[in-house]
Amino acid sequence: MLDNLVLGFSTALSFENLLWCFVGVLVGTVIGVLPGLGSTTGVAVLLPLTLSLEPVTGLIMLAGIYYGSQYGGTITSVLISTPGEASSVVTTLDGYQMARQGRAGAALSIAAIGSFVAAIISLALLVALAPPFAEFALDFGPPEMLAVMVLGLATIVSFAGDNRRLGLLMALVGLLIATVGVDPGSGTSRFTFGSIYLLSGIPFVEVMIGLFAVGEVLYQIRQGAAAPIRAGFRELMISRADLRRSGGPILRGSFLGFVFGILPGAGSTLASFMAYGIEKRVSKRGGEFGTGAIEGVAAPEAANNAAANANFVPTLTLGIPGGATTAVLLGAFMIYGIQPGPLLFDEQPDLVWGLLASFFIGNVILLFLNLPLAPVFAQLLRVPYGYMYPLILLTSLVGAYSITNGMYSVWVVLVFGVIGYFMKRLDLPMAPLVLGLVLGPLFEKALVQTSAIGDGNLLIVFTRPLALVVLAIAVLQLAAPSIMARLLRRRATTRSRRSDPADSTPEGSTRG
Amino acid sequence: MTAPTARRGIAVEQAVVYGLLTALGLGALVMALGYGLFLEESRVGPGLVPAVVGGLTALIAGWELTATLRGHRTPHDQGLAEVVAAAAVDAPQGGASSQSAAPGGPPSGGSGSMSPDGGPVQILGSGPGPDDVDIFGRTPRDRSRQLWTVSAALVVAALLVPLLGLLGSLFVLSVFVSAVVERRGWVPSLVVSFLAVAAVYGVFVGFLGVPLPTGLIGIGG
Repeated sequence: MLDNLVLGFSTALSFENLLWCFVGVLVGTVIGVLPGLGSTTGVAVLLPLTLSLEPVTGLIMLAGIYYGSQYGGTITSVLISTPGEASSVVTTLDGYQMARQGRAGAALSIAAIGSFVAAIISLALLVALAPPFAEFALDFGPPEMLAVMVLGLATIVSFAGDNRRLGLLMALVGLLIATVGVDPGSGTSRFTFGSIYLLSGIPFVEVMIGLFAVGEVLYQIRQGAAAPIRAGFRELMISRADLRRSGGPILRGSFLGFVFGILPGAGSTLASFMAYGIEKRVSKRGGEFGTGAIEGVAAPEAANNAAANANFVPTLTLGIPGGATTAVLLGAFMIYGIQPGPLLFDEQPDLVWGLLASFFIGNVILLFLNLPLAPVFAQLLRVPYGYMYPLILLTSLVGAYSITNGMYSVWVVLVFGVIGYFMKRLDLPMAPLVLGLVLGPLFEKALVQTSAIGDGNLLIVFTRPLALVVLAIAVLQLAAPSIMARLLRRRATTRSRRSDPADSTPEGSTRG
Repeated sequence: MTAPTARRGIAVEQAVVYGLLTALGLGALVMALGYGLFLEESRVGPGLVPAVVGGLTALIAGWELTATLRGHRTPHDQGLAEVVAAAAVDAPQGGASSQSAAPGGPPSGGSGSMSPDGGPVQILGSGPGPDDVDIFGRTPRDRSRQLWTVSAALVVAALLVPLLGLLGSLFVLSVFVSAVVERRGWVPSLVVSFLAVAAVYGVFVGFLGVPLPTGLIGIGG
């Protein structure tokens, strides 16, 4: 393992990789801060820029954008209660309250420190667990892979958005789009209508750029312009007492985030909410949560960062993305001609370990960049959206063109831009569609292989113990949100019965 | 536009989208049957997955279409929203506000709509809502017109590529959007658009060496 780490750091510490890691983290933070942009959009729009780089360098930059934008989202969550990322939503609860009490600097510092510690812990866990997990996954046959994909889809259907039926509908639409092109089993062309473009299927990255960048721009135009936001800092320093209070929450958040992040399809949003909920359960200051408790920032921030790293476990070892952004990253792997999966650790050790080592380096950069510069990044909030979106459109369209050097990609982006707009307008969740689209070809391939193994009998899946366990977890996932909500609520009720009613008076209802 | 009118507008759009998805699912199902569901020895054929997926899509979208036509509103309180609601118990209501929270103001109430790691978060209930006038005094109808203008401009820009080249037509698009749609001055619009196109040229052509189409008049090759 030590050899692997040395290999990883020697790869990640090359001048070129360091430079692009820095660029990724910096651009990611800016993207996270800017209204209307998130990590998925950032990675999708900037993916074409990495095509001329070495795959490992490109992936290091894209991963930097991913976790950089998570922190950028935290800045806006704390300062203006506007999460740039879904995983930062819970940070608004206490982070914004801290900012209103003049402690924005402390909230942002603890978020940076918590994220850093979580990154180190999750990286250690990733380094320790990913290789044996990959080795274990080598024994996975098509039936097991099929079950894991069902688990991924069930998780995302269950947790994406706020209506399971719509989540399932969108996952099905993603799977349906993925069937366009030549069938992997028999070579039959499907839904191509005589078009040579459609023979190779509907291009994945262009779909992402359309849905997340152009669709978002159109949606923001429809929503209307908001006043440019000015944010100020009164107290930049974090006190020693704050650090002491945050130690436990950061550690708990890190481990919890890692566990949720490993689950294919679950992602960091769920991890951050669970960390917040559980911290509220176990903390002595649970009653202060929601009124500016630093633990309420430290725990979810640690959790979402740990989960972002843990997302790479299913992505790298199984080739099944943990969330929408890692799904786009998976698309990047495929464009570079790399097939993520259990063999990746043996076949491309410098890439895998270089990428993992870059997480550590990227988080160090993020810490040193953000502790002093958070107020500077916050000034980006003043940029009116009207100035930004023409640039987003330009970059998206030229980026799409550069993927295949053809206008077909541009048209795909435009079509899916309109689709993305309607999905946002009608509250249809995008993550299941993305996962369905990514998993579609793999799912069908595993299905064809399973059918071949079972001589046409797909029920063979139920005779494989491991596949059966994974399928059982998938079924449980559908009920998981209700179970989690009930657990969190039960504790809250018990605590509120015990505590003084005055403690739970929501201060947020008063103007600060 | 009043709130009920806006809601009715959304319901009409929902009905159209669910109707299209139902048709898409049914179409996929019918076409997939033609590809063959099974090969020899009952092995999975090229039509099985699209048929099953298409059938289920038609079923769920059809269900939603029927519910929408009957005036039922789809509940948005499951999944992550359940966990969010439970985790945020005791916290100030609506701690997360929208992209456009008023500076220094309290977080406005409202339920969050979010997709895990699915890009920017959209929180309902604040900012210039669907029925409000935005800071530039644009009504929902104005914004809707802007939306369709930008969408049409995107299509026109793509159609102009063979004539003006990609960068040329995107320059025209950017100037049009800034000066006409966003109503900024012509000079700043021209300057900002030129700088944006120059930056894109520098990155994609200069740095990445992408051969962008130059069109008949040969811009930006």
